[in-house]
Amino acid sequence: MISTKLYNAQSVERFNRLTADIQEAQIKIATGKRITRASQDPVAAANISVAKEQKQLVSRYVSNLEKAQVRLNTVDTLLGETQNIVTRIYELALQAKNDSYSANDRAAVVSEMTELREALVGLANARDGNGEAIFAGYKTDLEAFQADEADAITYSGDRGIHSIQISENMRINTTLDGASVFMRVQTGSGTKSVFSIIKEVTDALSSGQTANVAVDELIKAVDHVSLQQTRVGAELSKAKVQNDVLMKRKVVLEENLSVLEEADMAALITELQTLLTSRDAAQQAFIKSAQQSLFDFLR
Amino acid sequence: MASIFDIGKSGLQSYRQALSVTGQNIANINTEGYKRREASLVEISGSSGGITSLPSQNGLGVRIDQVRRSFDEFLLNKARNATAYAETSASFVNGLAQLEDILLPGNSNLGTVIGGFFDGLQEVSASPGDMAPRVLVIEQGKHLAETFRQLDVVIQDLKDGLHTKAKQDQGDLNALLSELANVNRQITSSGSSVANNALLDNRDSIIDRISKLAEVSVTLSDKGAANLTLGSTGRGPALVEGNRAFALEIENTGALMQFLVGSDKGLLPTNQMTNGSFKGLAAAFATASKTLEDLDALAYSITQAFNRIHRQGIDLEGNAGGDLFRTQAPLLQASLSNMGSAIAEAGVLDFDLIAADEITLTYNASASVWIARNSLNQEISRGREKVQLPGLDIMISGQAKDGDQFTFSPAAGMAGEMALNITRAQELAAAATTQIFADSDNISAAEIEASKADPLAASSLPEIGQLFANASSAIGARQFLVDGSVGVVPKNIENIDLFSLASQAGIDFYASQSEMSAAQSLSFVTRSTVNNNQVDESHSFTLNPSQFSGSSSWQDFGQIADLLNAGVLRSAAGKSLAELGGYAAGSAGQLTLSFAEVEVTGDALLGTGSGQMVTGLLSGREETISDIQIFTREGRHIAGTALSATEIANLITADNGFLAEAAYNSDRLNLTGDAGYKGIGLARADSASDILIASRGSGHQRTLDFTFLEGIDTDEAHPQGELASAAAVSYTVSLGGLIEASITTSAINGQDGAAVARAMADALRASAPIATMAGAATLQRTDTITLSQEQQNSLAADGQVSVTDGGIIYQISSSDGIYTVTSGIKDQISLTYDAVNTRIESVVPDLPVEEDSVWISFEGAFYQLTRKGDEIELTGGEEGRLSAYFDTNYRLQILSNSGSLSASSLALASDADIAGNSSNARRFGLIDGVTQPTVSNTVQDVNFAGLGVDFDISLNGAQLVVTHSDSNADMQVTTMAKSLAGQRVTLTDLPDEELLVMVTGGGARRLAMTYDQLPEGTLQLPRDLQVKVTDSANRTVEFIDTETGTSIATRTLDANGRTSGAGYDVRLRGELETNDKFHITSNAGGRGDARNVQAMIDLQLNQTVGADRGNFQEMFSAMVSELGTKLQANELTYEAASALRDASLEAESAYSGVNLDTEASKLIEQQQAYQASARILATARELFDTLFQNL
Repeated sequence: MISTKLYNAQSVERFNRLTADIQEAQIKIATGKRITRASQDPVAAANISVAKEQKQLVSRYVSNLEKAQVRLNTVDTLLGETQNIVTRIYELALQAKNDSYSANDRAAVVSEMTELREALVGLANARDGNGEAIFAGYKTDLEAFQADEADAITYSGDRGIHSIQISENMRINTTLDGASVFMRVQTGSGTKSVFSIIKEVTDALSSGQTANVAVDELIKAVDHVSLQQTRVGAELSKAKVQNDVLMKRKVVLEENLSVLEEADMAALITELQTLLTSRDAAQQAFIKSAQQSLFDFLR
Repeated sequence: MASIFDIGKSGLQSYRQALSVTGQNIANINTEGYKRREASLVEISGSSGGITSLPSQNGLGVRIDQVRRSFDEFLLNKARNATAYAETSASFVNGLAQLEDILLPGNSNLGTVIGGFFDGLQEVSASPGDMAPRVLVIEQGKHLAETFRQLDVVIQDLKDGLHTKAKQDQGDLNALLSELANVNRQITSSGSSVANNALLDNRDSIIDRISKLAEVSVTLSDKGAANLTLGSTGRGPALVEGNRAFALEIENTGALMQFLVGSDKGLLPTNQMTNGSFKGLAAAFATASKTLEDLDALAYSITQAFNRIHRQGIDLEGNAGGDLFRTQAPLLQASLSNMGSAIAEAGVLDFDLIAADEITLTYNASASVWIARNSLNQEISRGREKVQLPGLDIMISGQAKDGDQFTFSPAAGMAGEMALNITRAQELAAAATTQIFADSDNISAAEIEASKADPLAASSLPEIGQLFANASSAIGARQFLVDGSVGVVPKNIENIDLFSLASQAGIDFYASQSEMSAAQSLSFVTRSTVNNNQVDESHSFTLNPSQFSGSSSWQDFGQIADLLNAGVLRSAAGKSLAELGGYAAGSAGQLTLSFAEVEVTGDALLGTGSGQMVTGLLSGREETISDIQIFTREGRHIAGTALSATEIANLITADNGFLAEAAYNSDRLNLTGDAGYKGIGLARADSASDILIASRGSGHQRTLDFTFLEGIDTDEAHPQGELASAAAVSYTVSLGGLIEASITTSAINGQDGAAVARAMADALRASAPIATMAGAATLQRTDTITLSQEQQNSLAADGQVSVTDGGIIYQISSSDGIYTVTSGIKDQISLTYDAVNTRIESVVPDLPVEEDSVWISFEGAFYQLTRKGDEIELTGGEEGRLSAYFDTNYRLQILSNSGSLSASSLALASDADIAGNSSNARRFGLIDGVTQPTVSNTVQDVNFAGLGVDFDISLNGAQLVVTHSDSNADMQVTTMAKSLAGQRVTLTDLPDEELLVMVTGGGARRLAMTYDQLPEGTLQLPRDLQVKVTDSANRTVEFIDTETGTSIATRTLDANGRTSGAGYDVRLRGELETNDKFHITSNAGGRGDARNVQAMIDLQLNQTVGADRGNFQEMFSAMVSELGTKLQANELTYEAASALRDASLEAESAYSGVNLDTEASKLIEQQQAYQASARILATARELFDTLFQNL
């Protein structure tokens, strides 16, 4: 039989422990979290932090993807415009090539073509919402397409293509470089720029040498631009597919996280109830037993 | 037979006593340390009987034998050990829980902050040219660094808190120990053989309290005094021995809490702290230290990985990225217990290669070697003076003793010092350094792929730093035996200056100490060539030490060499060594003589007494200068003489350091600047004349630039006596075929080009007329000082008087009517005494005021003469060309310091040239009324060809400018010089690649060089490159430096279009066209490029190839889980320990504690016995009454 003093001390100790357990259960219920300290379940805690990290990453990929889509759509629109202009020039060239055109008519056509070429330069130097040049490669603060003294358009950008991460191992190009789009049309007589093809046509027309008007090169230019548009289209569809993937991943991750992290309320509340009951019972019992000793019977 | 009455009485007495013991137990139910008492009853046995009677079998009653204290040593010790164990866990768990709270304070922790930083980088990657995300990521980076620093501080605080708590407990423990010693004293000093129970209670209670703090082993003496030793073994250090207590001390060693116990030998460290709250505190302290170490390692890892990538990028302003996070010099500490005096120094070669791991260097005296071990105690390297480790060398000097240690902790303190190194958002290097693309004018549609190639294996040739002293010195020069490769100029050399030297004839004497000290004579034969005839001369020197010192023997050869060089020792013919063109160097065992002009031949002998001779070794003279050739490893010839086909075949080989693909190309040979190889700066002079006197200009003006090669063209002696070099320099200049001058060292007052130019000018002007100008007026005025009556009287009476005039006191004395001034500025005035008018007349200088100036023109230059006190300061024109002074008559005198070739005169500068110069001239006395100054030219040498010479020279620093008076004339200047150096190649702005140095053409093959090394870690942006298809059919390409158009390397593509060159692995895809170009260029201006920031982002998921870098969040997560697991395990331990403690306490308490129920039942039992004993008494009385009544 242990001493009364130790018995009392141990009882108090047990009540303290019960109270601590009750507190713990209350915190879990209040936060809704299964784990409030890593030491409660180190393995789960590590998994939770990985899952959270993943969730943050996936959200970032989604937001990167949205940015990429915005830019690619801009590029697509610009290329559509380019396509229209080059096609229009092609049509004009076909007409003007016709011998029935007078010199005046040709001059009018040349003047329209020159205007269109100017517009084309404008498109090539277009900037996005942040004021960054779209077709200048990495040199996004440049007006990359400039006319030199001979009115030839030169490209001072580079051939960098900005890309952005849309999954752990996938990147998407957000633009095309200006040189690929405008400067490298493969023609029968080597690589030429869209601008110099147009220039050659207008020069031939203004000098009346209609035979030299290289309509086939303009067709090459139209084809070239549409090829570029296809490239953008491919990136856009890649973006769409990836968007679906990311959305699915997000859902799965959230489910995982909730399984790992969220508390089972029913179980917790039952546990709390049990704890409260045992504390009350223990206290009652202590009061009874501590009150009584054999002395009560010494009368 | 005992009386029944007595028996009853003994019962009454005994039970009353027993009842009081029970009462005492009940009363002490709450007394700390009280052990239950038990009254033990024994029968009082009957009489022992005698010879005639049987012993009585009846007893005599009962008595209290002893009041026993319920004490069970075993149970008590068990309870104490269990308590100590529980206390260990309790305080350890408590510490760990605090640490966990620090690392995971809530929703935001280091892991999420790292994640936030990466997220910010993603934002930059999306729009790298945009400032807003950059600003944000800089803030996130700062926050990351701040979080590290904060964690460091908080964990340090926790450690401090644990240490403080332990210190407080230390005080409590030491107080308890002294108290126990005190109780022991009382126990031993009490008279009775059994100690007082209350003292024993006190003793046990103190030991209980001690056990909570530190587990102890207890041994009790017979009387009950307790001796304590620390720990559970019983062999730990004594804490209490009888009435002596030994105090415990706690020391914070930084990483650990060290316990020390006092003893007769002072404080000694112990590892016997087996359990108790101290042990828990110490364990928590060690865990906190470990966590801090992990944190440092994480900080180090982040810093290293980010910096490595950031340095490879380029920022928004086109500059190379520097460090992203601040680095610190790694900590290299000597152990406190080192007995030797060794000093270690860490030389970091590549920060990227140094792991965070701590490395310990331990000296092993038996092998006299330092052994480096990693944190797992595995040997990773060893060395004597240098221990090579990945990324660094540790140099150790000084005397070490066995077991001496150095600890290299690269990561120590990183977390606490973590800081972002860049401050402006533009400085984030988001873009990659290079861009690789096909030229947009290409005819073909071929595309290029390129990546940085593995660094070229360094050539196996020695680097120049290993071969040459970095000095343009004859002593530092090195001679090679054959033509060919000399060495490699490493990448980090920025400028280099190479000299090809002739070699001088020399004599080396090697002698023992005794031979040297007995040296008596020196003899040798020189051979000179005069008019194609060889003339041999024998020279002998007598060496007699007693002439120069009190000793009769020489100290060393240095002494002899000094005396020879000073000309004190002279040959039998009276010639000094210098007159023979020689110079000597000497040390303990070697004497070396070198000769500038002559050859040595025959026998060179050193007489050492008694006919003994030491023969000197002769080395021949070699005047032919070898050619210096500089190449790239690709075979590009940068400097030297063009190679013939045979030479190309012989020299451009792998053995000479060239790459296998090297092709000889001399397009840029000896060209400088834009024309030079990669814009290299190059100057080459291949004769002594060109090296020492550079002649520039044409037409009527020539500029001669003089160079003096200190160390090469001076007398030099090696301090160890191994080498000597005698100066043999001369400079000759001939002007217009009319005037020629030649100078040698003796004429030159100084060791630089300016001194040579000055000496040359003096020599050229030596015979020319000297121009002089004398002032027209003497600058004097007369003052009159009238003596007062009083002064007259004084002068008459005393023969002297003091007169003050113009603030100056003049002492005047008279002797026989002659008056003299004895003080004051007597030299500047002359006095006459006018006795009639009783006044003194003085004549004083009337110079222009201080700082007043006048201008003189001479040889086409203006000179300003300014009065400074009594001197004239000359400025303008050629320094030192003129002198000016006031003569004794206060007339200004001006003269040229040496002659004027054009016989120029000194003249006043006109008012048109210098406004107001004529009034200046008047103040200086150069013009007096209408008198002009006297101008004269004195011809010094009647043979001077001049006085018709129509050119002149002027001096400007190291330059001598020769100008013909007729601007259409062609000024003829010829120069000649003699030097030890015969060829000099000076290269500046060297490219970032290894260069090969060779000597060709035979001859002396003797080189010296100086070079500048770029400081460690200098960032160099790579130069723009082109890959140009030179022949599409043969698939040959040329690597070209874009800026200068320099061809760097020639290559042939393999079948897949691959090749490597100029530091890149290149692949060209598609049909090639000749002259198509592909660019590998700097990405400066590439603000839209996010490739480098992407490389940093890749660190988050550790996608960098083949490196265990990155994944920082996982590292942190691992740290936290490790701590969590430890805490979880220890919480379980704590529960088990508590249960064990409770059980042990219960067991002990069941034996020695007071339980009310037990006591109550005893009370009843004893009361009943008491009542029964009383009944015995009553019975005895009744028996007595019965007997009494029956009587």
